[in-house]
Amino acid sequence: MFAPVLVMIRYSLNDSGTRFNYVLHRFSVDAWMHPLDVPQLGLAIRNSLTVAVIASLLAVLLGTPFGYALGRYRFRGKSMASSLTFLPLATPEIVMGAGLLTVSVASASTAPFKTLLPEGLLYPLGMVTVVIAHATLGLSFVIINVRARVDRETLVLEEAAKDLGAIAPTVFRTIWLPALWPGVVSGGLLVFAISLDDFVLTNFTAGSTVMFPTWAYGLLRRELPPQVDVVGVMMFAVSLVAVIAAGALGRRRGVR
Amino acid sequence: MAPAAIWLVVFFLAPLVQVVRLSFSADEFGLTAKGWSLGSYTAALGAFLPNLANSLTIGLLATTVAFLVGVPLAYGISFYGGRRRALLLFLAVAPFLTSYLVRVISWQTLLGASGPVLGPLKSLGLVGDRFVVMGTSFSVVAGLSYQLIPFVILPSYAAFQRVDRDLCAAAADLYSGRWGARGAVLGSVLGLAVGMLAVYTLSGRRLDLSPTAALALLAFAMVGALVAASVTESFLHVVLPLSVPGLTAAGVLTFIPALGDYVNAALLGNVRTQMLGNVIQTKFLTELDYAGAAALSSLLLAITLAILGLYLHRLRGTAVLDLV
Repeated sequence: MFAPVLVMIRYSLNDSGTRFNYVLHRFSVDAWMHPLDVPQLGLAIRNSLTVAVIASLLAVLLGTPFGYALGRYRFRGKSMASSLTFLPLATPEIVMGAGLLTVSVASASTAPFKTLLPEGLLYPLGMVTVVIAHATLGLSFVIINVRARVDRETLVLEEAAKDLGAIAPTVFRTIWLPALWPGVVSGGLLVFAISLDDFVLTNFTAGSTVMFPTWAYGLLRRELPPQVDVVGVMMFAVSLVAVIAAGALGRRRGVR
Repeated sequence: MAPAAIWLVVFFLAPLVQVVRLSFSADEFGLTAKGWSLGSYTAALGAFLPNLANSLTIGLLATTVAFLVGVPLAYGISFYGGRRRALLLFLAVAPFLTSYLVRVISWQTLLGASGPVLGPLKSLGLVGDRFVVMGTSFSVVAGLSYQLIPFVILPSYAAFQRVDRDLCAAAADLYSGRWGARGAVLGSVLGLAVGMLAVYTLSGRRLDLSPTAALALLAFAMVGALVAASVTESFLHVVLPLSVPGLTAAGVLTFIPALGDYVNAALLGNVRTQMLGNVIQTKFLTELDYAGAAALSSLLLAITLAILGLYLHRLRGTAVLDLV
């Protein structure tokens, strides 16, 4: 299971002597000393990080109230709303990506998309479309994470607080905020990690914008510099810290 | 909650509808839909049936392999992990925290002709100089099943966690035996089935009957028999029935991304292992044949919805989100 990770670490410390870093040749820390020494790599990383931050914030803002409502209330159409959050997880990413691509292209010329969507939002393709794609996929993860924090115990606590005379804002601050907070943060971090990791949606929605995974995919035809592995190791480290932080936070602030 | 619902309708449902609409477009090579026709479907089905078959066979085999690795791992962590369960689960999914593409590249290196596995084997003379793994259906299945492992581990771990431990203890007292002979028979049949799927997929969708293949089938059947015979009856009668909903969810959530994957086939496979996703990607992004690509995407979507429909029908009363 860890073999590919070990390969990635070992090959980031390699000077293959050729343009393709597939064969171990000479141990070298060169790629680590000059991690951005490949044209466009810096831009690709910056774009990917920007997209990941915005997409996860967007997913959290949109998903938190939805997850809370799904867990807290009974309402007409609840099972439909439930399915709507489940579907993006079960749809092949390639179909989702293809859909966004066709709508983007159509939004430039045809009704109803041209009239409904603000001009320039989806076309030409670029970072905005990638953010939209990643936030759409990530939304479901936030909703599920937040919804999972709404349990019977919290409802009982809410009841108790109300009986003791707490007004709505106080109930929200003292009961719901601490209960939901870990779900919100872990959902957000998950979206961040998914966005950095995602290839398929990015491939379909980035257009000519340079994003790390699609840029590296295109690069593979010409060369594979060890810097790609260096970035892989760095992403691994960042995601590792993020997930550990999310887990620790979940335990400390959790109701249970 | 309204903004999120509107968001999902605009950026998730509407795009799917647009793809389906485009697939019936009469305007070949048009970027938007005009008129109605079934032309894209007849053209697509005529030319790309082998790719669809690749998606189904490679996807199914990769899902099976991911299950064979992921389910025992999840079971072990859930039942024998003790206090370190959370840490062990984290370690099991940690390798998947790096970039998807970099993971695929690592598999290219790992399986390469002079990579860390084949290189030493070749210098020892254990395999011939012209032996390759990269660029075969084997490497596609290996890479894809690796990527799918977390989709198996997480839901099946959640399912195993939900199994009441008191019931398990009671069951262990009541049925303390192993499955034995009956298990061996069923296990060998299952092992044979998996082996046939493997041989069929890896030899490029022919039923290969060479001595090597026959030997491999025998090995699959024997391993299946051994494993099934040693399964305890308490696992069979208590743990398994209680975790079936979660395991089914894992199967659905693993097979669907496997069907649509194209990165593994593009980077680890050859011309004959290209999946439906590869054709869709090329048509959309290189050939700009939107109608043709939309027809194939709609086909993929229809298969997905059929699987989901079947799954939800079986699930009936249970809330879907509880199992994710």
